[in-house]
Amino acid sequence: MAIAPAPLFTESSEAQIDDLLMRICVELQLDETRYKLAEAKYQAVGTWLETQTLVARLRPSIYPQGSMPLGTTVKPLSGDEYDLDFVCEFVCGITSFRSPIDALDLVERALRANALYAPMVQRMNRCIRLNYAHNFHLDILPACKDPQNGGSCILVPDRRLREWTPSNPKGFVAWFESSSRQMLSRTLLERAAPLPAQQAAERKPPLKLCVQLWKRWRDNRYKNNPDLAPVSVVITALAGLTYRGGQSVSTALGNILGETAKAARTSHPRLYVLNPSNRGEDLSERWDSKPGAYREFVSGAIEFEAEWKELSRLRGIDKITRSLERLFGEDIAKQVVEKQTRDIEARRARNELAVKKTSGIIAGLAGTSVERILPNTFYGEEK
Amino acid sequence: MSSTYPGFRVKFSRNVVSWVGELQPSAISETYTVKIDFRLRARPKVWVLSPVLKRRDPKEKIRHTFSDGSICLHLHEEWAPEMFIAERIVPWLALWLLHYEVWHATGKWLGGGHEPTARK
Repeated sequence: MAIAPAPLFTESSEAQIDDLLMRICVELQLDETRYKLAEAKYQAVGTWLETQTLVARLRPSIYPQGSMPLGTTVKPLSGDEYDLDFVCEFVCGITSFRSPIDALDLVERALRANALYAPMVQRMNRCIRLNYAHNFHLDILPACKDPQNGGSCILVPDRRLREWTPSNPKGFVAWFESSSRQMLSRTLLERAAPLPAQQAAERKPPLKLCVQLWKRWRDNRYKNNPDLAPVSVVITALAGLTYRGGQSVSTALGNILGETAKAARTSHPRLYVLNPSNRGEDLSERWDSKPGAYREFVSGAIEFEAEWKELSRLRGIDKITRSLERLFGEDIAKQVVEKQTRDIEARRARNELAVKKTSGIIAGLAGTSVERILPNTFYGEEK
Repeated sequence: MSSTYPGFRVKFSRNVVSWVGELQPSAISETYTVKIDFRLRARPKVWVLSPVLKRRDPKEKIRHTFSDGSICLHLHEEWAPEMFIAERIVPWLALWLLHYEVWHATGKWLGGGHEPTARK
């Protein structure tokens, strides 16, 4: 007995929008070549740090943090710059250093001891950066274990470099993965932990696609004033905290934005976004010193939510494309509509299309009440 | 026709049997009111009544339409009077409407087809 194939995405507005959103995420992925390059460079630096005499005695544990292990990387709006953040966690406690500056100095010296890395080293506020060719950089954050909080909790230099502040990037990644209902197949507790292989957009859980879309909206919305843009870790945490499950990206993002906008409107003096795996870490601390950025976050979230609700009500592929252009950028919106239509045309060429008799909706051949679309050629003039 | 497409209504006038109905080519598309005039010994004429079809650019005609505004869905040889309208025209019209929307969205007509060379 044959199993009926799934309905075509054109048969449901949610499915058709989800298809467009998934195609947007495909366009946003870092290409495999660059991903693998980042991985190779990260492995090389990790190995150097583990074996370099200055730091080896502190038995550093090297692991990635941020969008790459989370699976939420998006290509920059323009230009080519991309990066990988990683942690260099020493086995000692913070008392082994006079101050956080010492830890940064140590990592910097260890890197400069390598003739290859020395010219690439750049001291940033809280981390050491290695600038590679082709617009790629690695940011290395020194850290110590946090014995008080235990587990994978760490202490990292704070912004003013006078104190150590709690963090838990491994815990954050693990929490995010379980929020997306998928556990990592490998733990990140090994030395120079490998970077997880990049997952194709088509196989990503909906939560990760939601984060990618939200980040892209942010990049587009704040392209002229990036200082006001909400930081990625806050977006990622809010998405993970408000996601209620389900397979549809458009519905999930609507719920995420609805909850976020509601929380933003009702939190006074401001919304606090704490690391769910280490509540001593305020991921949104930047808003304390930048109230303008916080106000922007609130108004931006409300605006995005309203636009998202409107998108689900719009009818007319051209109107929907205009809305996607406003949200994510003109080129990407047109590209995905074109690709979706070419997909439909490919099915037409294989004689796999029909229309539903009650509505005229273009559909697959499965299902009741359909009339097959026979081959034709559109023409222009009467003979 | 009515049994195949229950939403369509029939009207009779002098030599023409007209069917009027609504088509929505995809779940995120508009719903269009369309009219098909079935004439004796001639190819059916197909119209979109509402929403009114618009050009992208005032100087550029809408693709695959005749000068009287009716829609062209097939080459001359793809039609013969014994074919059922329901079987052919309505599905082709749904596809045309989808491509019309996509053309407005992207500037590209992705449905293929021929535009005739201009006649002097």
